[in-house]
Amino acid sequence: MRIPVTINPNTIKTYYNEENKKVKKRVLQSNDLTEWDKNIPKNLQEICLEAIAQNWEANPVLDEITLTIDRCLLLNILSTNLPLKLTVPKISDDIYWKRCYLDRWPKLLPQDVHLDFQMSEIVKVHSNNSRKSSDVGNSNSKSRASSKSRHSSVVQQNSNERTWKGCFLETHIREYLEKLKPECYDAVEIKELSDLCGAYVKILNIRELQCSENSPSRIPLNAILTGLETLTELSLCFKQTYIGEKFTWDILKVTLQDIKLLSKGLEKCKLKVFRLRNSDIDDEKTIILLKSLLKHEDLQILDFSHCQISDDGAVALSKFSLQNTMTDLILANNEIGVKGAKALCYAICNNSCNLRAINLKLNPIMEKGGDLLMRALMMGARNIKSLFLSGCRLGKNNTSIGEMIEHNTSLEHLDLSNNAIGEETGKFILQGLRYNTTLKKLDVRMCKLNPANEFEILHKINQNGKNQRSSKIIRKPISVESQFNFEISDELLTEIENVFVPDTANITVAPQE
Amino acid sequence: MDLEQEEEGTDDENYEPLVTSQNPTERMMARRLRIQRRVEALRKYYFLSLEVMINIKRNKQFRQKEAREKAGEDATIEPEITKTPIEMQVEKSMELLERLAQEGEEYVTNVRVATEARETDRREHEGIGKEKLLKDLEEEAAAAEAMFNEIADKWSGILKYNDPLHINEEITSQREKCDELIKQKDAIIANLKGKLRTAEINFAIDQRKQIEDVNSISRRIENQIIVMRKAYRQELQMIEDVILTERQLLIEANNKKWDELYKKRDQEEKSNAEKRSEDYWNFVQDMDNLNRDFQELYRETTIKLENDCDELQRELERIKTDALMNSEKLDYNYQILKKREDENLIIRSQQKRRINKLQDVINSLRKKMNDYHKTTSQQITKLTEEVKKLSQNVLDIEKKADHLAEVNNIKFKKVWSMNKERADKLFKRILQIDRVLHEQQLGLVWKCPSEKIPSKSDLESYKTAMSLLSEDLPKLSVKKPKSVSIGTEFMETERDEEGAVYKRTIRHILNLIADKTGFLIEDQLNAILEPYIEPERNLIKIDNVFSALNVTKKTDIDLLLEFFLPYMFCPICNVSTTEKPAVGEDESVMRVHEMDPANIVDLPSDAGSAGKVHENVVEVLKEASVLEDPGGTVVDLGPISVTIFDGNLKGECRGPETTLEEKKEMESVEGSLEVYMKEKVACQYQHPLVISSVYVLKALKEFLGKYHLPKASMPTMGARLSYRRSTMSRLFAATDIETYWKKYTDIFPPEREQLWDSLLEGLKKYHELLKARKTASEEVMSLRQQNEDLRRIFANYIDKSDIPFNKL
Repeated sequence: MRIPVTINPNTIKTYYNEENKKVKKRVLQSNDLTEWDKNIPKNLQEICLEAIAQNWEANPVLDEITLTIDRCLLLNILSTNLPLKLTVPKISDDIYWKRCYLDRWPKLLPQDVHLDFQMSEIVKVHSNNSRKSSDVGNSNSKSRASSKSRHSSVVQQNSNERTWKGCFLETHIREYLEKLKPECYDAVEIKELSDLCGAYVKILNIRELQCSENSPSRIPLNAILTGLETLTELSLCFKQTYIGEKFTWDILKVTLQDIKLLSKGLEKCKLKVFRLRNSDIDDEKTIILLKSLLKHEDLQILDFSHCQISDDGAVALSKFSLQNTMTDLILANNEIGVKGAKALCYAICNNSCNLRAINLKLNPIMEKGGDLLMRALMMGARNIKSLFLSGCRLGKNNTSIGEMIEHNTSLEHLDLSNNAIGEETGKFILQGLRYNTTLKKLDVRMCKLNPANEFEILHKINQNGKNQRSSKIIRKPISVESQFNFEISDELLTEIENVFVPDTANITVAPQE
Repeated sequence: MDLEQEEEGTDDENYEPLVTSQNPTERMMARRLRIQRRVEALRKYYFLSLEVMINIKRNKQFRQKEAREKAGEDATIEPEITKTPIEMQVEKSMELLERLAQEGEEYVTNVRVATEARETDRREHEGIGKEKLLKDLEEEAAAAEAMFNEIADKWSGILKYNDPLHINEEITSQREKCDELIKQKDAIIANLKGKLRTAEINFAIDQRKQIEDVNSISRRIENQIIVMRKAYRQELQMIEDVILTERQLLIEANNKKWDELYKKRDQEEKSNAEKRSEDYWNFVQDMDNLNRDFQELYRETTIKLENDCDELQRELERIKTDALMNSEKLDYNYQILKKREDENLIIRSQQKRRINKLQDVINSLRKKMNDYHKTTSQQITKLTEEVKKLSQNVLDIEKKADHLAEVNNIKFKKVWSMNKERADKLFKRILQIDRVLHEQQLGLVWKCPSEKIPSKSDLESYKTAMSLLSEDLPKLSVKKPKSVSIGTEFMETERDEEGAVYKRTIRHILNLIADKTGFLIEDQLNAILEPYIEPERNLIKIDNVFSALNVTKKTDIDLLLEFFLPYMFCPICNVSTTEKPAVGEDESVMRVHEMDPANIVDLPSDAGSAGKVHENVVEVLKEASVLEDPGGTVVDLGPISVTIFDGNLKGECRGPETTLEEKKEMESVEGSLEVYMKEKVACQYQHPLVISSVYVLKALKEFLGKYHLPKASMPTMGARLSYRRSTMSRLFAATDIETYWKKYTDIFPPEREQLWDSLLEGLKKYHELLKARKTASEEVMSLRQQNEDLRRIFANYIDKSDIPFNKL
């Protein structure tokens, strides 16, 4: 059904529903207004636009059309299969790009894009209609245009929001890279693509990378990364989701060469979020990557979850956190032990550290590491807002958790689930909670606590979350020097300080290899 | 192993300890898990029930409230309720939904936590198992190596044997050993394979578990979504209900209000309609009445008008006859007037002729008048010259008269004193003689005459003279020291702090004067002063202005300041110092109004060039004209008149005494003023005063008016002529002098004179007697002499005979 641009979407919505009801009640075909324009001959304007749309590839005309209605109509009837080379520089209206996106990935709706309620509603209605009759598809898109033209203007108003064009191009590049085999890698093609899309791509989420058949290496990422100037968020995974029958261990491995190329590409970017998850990343590779990330001034989130980073990698990360503005560090499911925990403690106690959240889930930091972390939180680390320590093998001797909760005034979210800390520690935690007003979330599931205690803890935490006002006794924090230096052995300190130094030799050698 | 790890990496491992497992620890864990879940479920149930209860309670409360509201209590909503029911409901809903969301989150994350727990357990077990396995393998390897070494060592020994049987035996033993080793290895391999199989089975189980977990998560999420959706819908419904009820209430309240209004309107309409109908009937009645009245009136008026018509008809007839008469009369009059006009024509021509004649006469008279005018002007110049001369003469004569009066006075005084001396001497002698006479001749006690010697002071004219003279004299003698003392006072005060303020004020005023009185300065001077800086320019300007105004002395400046003070105010306190300006203004205005325009017309033509000074001049002139002595006054106008009249009347000045006196007077007055001014140059808070530039000219004008006034009002010729040079000699009355001298004669009473006369006579007689006696005695003496002589002669003759005679 074609709905003129001038009609308010709200009006359409209300009237449409009522019409349906009426139809059901009366069962009168004459009242069915869905095909009201079926017998109306198209006017010359529309025919012209259709002709333009058909021959658009040969003669791309859009900016020359001044009337908004005409533009909308054209963008609604233009084919979505036109080559990107033509459309990317020519078309900036989101009406067209949304159509492209929805045609290509109908089930994969993007996040953060303005998808307003009315529109989705209308889309649904039309999809229903189109199933019934195929010839109204054209008018379908027109009606969509009516709502979208308004919508696109809204999108253009606030530039912070993602555009459909950006979404389309991001998804396109992602799909391209995910399906690209290293054997088929063509530097010229990549260059073209990055030149074309460079200005629009902000978020790149690569979920898998194809492995070449005889070697474990992947496609080189440096070229595409340097090509995308506006990239702010990069998520990577060096694994293949579907292997089929051709399993080799190479699929799971990441070569040093790949990492070096990646780091080379990263040096040209200005990222805010970097995620490298579920990949074969050990300490050496971590250090190489961190070195390239050091120059990223706006970095906020660093995610190395599900990798194989151990103590040395943690040392490098602690040093990195002292030199960078990064606020979130996610190291879930790695192999960081006591030493790594110690290095991180040193980092978070330092004033130049910007970290707000640390995720150390499923890392074997053991009781000792837990103790060190608690002490650091109690004494010096005033910036940390959330800490995840679930499954870190803390034990019954970690009674300092209670003390930490009693004295800390900054922590808001603490996850201690899956640590067998025992009933005694639970009591200590309860004791500490009497004085704490800041902690809003505390997860103590599967911690072998007394169920009554656990319930009480939950209750108090809920209270904390609900009423900000401090009905509890505020206890003065224990006297702590503003510059609390975490006790740390000199060896570890020098290790932390020099973590990036000796490898510079390596990185200079690397390109020559 | 790697595979497993990989599996863990991609997704959380889905391994749940089974109660039916062979592993006792696993069984324990499973049981533990079960208990935990039960506890959690219980807790959740508890929570839910609690919440449901709370909800029910709330709903109840809400319903109750609603009911109450419906009952109409809402009309009296207490002011302390700040939240509307909607807000309260929204808050409640928010709380509930938050809690639901929290629970849902926990519900969903429980799966994750459980898988994580399983993973940690698995890792622990794996760690232990791995270590054990490695240890076993190592031990086995060591044992196998030892066995292998044993076998390998034996080979060399076997090689040395030559006996085939022996060798065979050895070899079989070796083979046995090898078989044993291989068997051992096989066992280990089998063991490992078994482990691998179990691991694979575990992996498969884990995978299944994972799928289950994923399914459960998705299920839970879906459930949660459904629950949340339901909850949201419910809450939305509730909020809507609340809104609707509130809306309903509002509608009802409004409806009620509207109904009331409608009712009111109906009532009002009804009353209005009634009122209108009443009015209508009243109006109809009134109309009837009016109609009736009007009809009557109409009839009356028609009758009256008909009567009038008749009368008017009659009148018309009469008037017609009158008009006829009048027309005849007018015709006659017209004839007469025509005749008169002819006569008038003749008379006019005669008059014209006469006018021509008179014009000639006028021309001749004008010529004469011009001549006369010329002669009179010449005469006037001559006369003025003469007047000058005469006044010069008058002055000379006056000088002479003064001199003569003084000389006369001195002479008079000398003569007087001489006469007095003589009279006193005589009087004293008379007294002496009288006393001698009384005491020696009459033998009486002498009495001083009762009347005393007359003194000058007793005389009336002397007293009046003295009083007249003393009026002038003390002024001269007393006031001088006073002014001096004030002068010293002034010197002292100048050193005070006020001096600074005083100076500043003076400077301010002078600057303003220099600024505002540009018209007094010549254009050329202005051009010359152009390059100089402000203070220098001001100095020269002020000098010029003062020379133009003839202000030369410091006291004059003080006087000037006095005139400025009333216009001054303190910019800080913003208060005018005194209320004087109003008075001053009035005076000046009055003076201007008093001016006789004739006087202005009479001004000499060259006075116009003086520009703005004109006003001052007019004032001065007016003062002069009041005195009715144009000749003298112009002379006395002083410096300003000199500048204006171009030396026409220059060089004339008053007598020296008077000017001196005047100046002294002025000085003394100004001296006293100085102190006064010192106090006034600053306001009560010692702020320097400021004058608005608007008042500068006005103040200056007043100053000039007052400054030159005393000079103008000095004694004129008439006064001078009437001036008496009142010296002592002139003031003494002649009768007084006579009486004075006569008194000397009256000192002695006539009895005493009589006495003296009689005494004189007696004494004269006594004198005669004495004279006769003297002659007799002289005769006696001469006779005795003769006798003597004769005796001697006799003696000589008788000679010494008759001595007895001698004895006689």
